[in-house]
Amino acid sequence: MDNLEAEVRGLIAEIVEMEPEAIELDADFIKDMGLDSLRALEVLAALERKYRIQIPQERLLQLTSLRKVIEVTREVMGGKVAQ
Amino acid sequence: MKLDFEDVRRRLAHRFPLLMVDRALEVEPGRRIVVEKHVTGNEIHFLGHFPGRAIMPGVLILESAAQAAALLLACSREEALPPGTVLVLGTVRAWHFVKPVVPGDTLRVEVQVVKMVDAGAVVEGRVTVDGQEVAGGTLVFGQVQYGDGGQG
Repeated sequence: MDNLEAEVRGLIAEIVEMEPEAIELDADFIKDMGLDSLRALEVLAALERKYRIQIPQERLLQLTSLRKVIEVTREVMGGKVAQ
Repeated sequence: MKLDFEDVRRRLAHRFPLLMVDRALEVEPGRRIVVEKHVTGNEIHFLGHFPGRAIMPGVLILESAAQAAALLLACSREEALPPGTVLVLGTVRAWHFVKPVVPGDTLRVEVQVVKMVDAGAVVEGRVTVDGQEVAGGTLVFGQVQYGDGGQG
């Protein structure tokens, strides 16, 4: 697990109120984890704040699993690895 | 931009006894708002909260922040919401109450946008009385169709 994955996992865990290690990479936030769409908005806001990035709102619908959140974050950050 | 009580009423759907914003001192669309809510002993909830000692219900302090946010979002949108939809308070995160609010107090509610999208917003609210924090936390709003439920 790289830095970015660990950080994003921790950030999501706080929002969804789960233990970080309990979040499976490909578990669908809505279908598998029973979350609602507002959690994705919170995740997006938290990512923007943590990494000082701007994530276009069109990407909101893509934030459906931990893996996808990491992918979108990495892409928006331009491949830059979190310090 | 400032809003007086009539301006507020034009922009919010809330009415007596649940209109919890008296005026807006500062509105920066898309960024922040500062509103005031004057608390008087004549308000109906003090009949029961409590008969021997008037304390403003915490949920109404929260409601004041939610309405300030609703006002800010209403002033911030370039386009109206799609017909039949409304923004409702969906999540209250890390909201804390620090001290009681009583008749005679004036709530100063400052709300800042953390993130705003077409279908919702994350905002942070801080409520003070005479410069001292009485409550605060994060509020998340989402867009729903009429009849889908939700609060605020």
